[in-house]
Amino acid sequence: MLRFKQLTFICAASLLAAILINFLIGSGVSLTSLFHGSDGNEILWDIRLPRLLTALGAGAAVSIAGVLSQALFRNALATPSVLGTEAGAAFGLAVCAFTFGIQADQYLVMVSTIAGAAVATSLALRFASGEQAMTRLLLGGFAMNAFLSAGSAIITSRLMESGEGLGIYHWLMGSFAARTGFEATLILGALLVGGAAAVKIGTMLDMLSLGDEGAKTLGVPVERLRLLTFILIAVLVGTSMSVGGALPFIGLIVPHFIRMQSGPQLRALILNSAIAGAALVLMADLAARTLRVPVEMDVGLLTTMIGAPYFLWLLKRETGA
Amino acid sequence: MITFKHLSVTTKSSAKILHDVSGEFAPGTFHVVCGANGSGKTTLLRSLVGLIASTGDIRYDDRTLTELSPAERAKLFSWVPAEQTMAFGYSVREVILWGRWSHHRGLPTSADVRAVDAALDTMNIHSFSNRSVNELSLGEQKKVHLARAIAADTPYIFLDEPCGPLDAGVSLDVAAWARVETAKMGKTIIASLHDLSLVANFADRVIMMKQGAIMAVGPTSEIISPPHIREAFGVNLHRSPSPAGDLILMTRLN
Repeated sequence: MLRFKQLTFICAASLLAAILINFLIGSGVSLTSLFHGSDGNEILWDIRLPRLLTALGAGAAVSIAGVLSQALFRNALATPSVLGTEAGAAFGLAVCAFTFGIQADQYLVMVSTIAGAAVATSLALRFASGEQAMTRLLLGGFAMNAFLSAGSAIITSRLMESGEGLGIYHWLMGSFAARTGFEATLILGALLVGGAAAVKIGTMLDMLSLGDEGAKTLGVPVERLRLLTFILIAVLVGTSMSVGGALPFIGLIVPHFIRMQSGPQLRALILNSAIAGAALVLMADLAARTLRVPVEMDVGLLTTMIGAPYFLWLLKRETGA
Repeated sequence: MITFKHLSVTTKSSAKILHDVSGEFAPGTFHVVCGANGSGKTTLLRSLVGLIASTGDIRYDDRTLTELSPAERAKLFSWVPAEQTMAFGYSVREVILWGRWSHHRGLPTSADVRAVDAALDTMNIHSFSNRSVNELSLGEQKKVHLARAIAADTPYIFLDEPCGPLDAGVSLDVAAWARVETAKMGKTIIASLHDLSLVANFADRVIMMKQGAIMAVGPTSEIISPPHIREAFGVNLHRSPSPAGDLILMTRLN
């Protein structure tokens, strides 16, 4: 098992490499455009940088939400894309676009996605009690994902009639195209506040692995902790959805992979998952904009292509099937 | 001093599993709660640490349990349940350090690390201190959670079936440790135990439970006696002194 510092170094080096590759690969720019006034310079600073920062922030935010969700439900499979949290946020986005139009105020979009994520997660919390809690949770998440995705699809098809459907479809599938400094600021702000709060409650969430009773007798205010974690998950997933759409399975594969490398301690897991998640989403976004030039692929589809097989492998391992 | 008055616990299906129980646990004493399966031992312990709702009054010294915050409770008493599952593979050292959380509430200090080392020594589990708790046997896991309670350094320690999964040698060590902690360190330990030989040889006082009520309470020699054991368990008790301690044998009635 790697030590925390070694892993942090590897993750940070990967992120740095991902940033540089992302920044420089693509049409119309070269290394020299960084320093000389040209069209390439504008592409780098006005288009690529905000996009890069938004993707980086969203990847980190969703990864931290994954760590928090796994800790809250005491299970490595219980992540935002499995429980329906992401589908809830996507539904919030679709409802907002349907009600206020696809050009709705970004704050309004963010409130809608956070509300959608919160409602879906609170329903998941209801499933996660009693006997066979994990089975109920996964089946409940399956049903919620199906229901909310159908809801989003119905709204999207209605929007197709008015010509706005395609835009919302690509947004829902994950896209960082044409993001501005405003979106980057929103997600980095949520990441900074959410990440700091997550680190602060990290040890208490570690203790929650003993169950509610075990944590309570160690002095953890379990109900307050649960509520705060729930809010953080909703804010991180909701904000990420509002700026970049869905990033399915990032919140599952990144924390799980990092935990396998350096152990389950939350504070270290949060930091390294955030860095690795940011790097992974940056590379997915690079693939999305370069694999089928001039067409952009949806980032969410790419993360699903990596994440879903990993989830199936994990499910097989966890259940011993 | 822990005092509890008119304690009752009713389940969701309206079954009363603890009936108007009152008593006290004096400090510096090793108290054992005894009784047949389903007699209310665990329910009594769980209500005293606030894990199940009960009617009645529970006081730790001069403060009621309800007025204590979670952090204050964790500094006042530790709790080791009969069975403890854990999600994810935290190391032995990490889990024991959680016992110190109410002391530092942030990052552990050198005093916390020393307390963990001392607890590892007491339970003699240094050899696997860096292994994942989930990889250990049930008995080893129990030792880790006992070490966590020791590291917490609380005046009151509640142990539900502490010797359940432990082998004979370690059970004796745990009982002897409880005796020393209470007699020399002034701690108050309240444990539920099934092994009457351990109870007879190590406990200071015994609360005998039957059908959710206290059947008898008093010094160990008085309670671990044929009439009380017959009434509580429906078996004969044969007790004879020996140089190494009292020999205990149970036989069926008739």
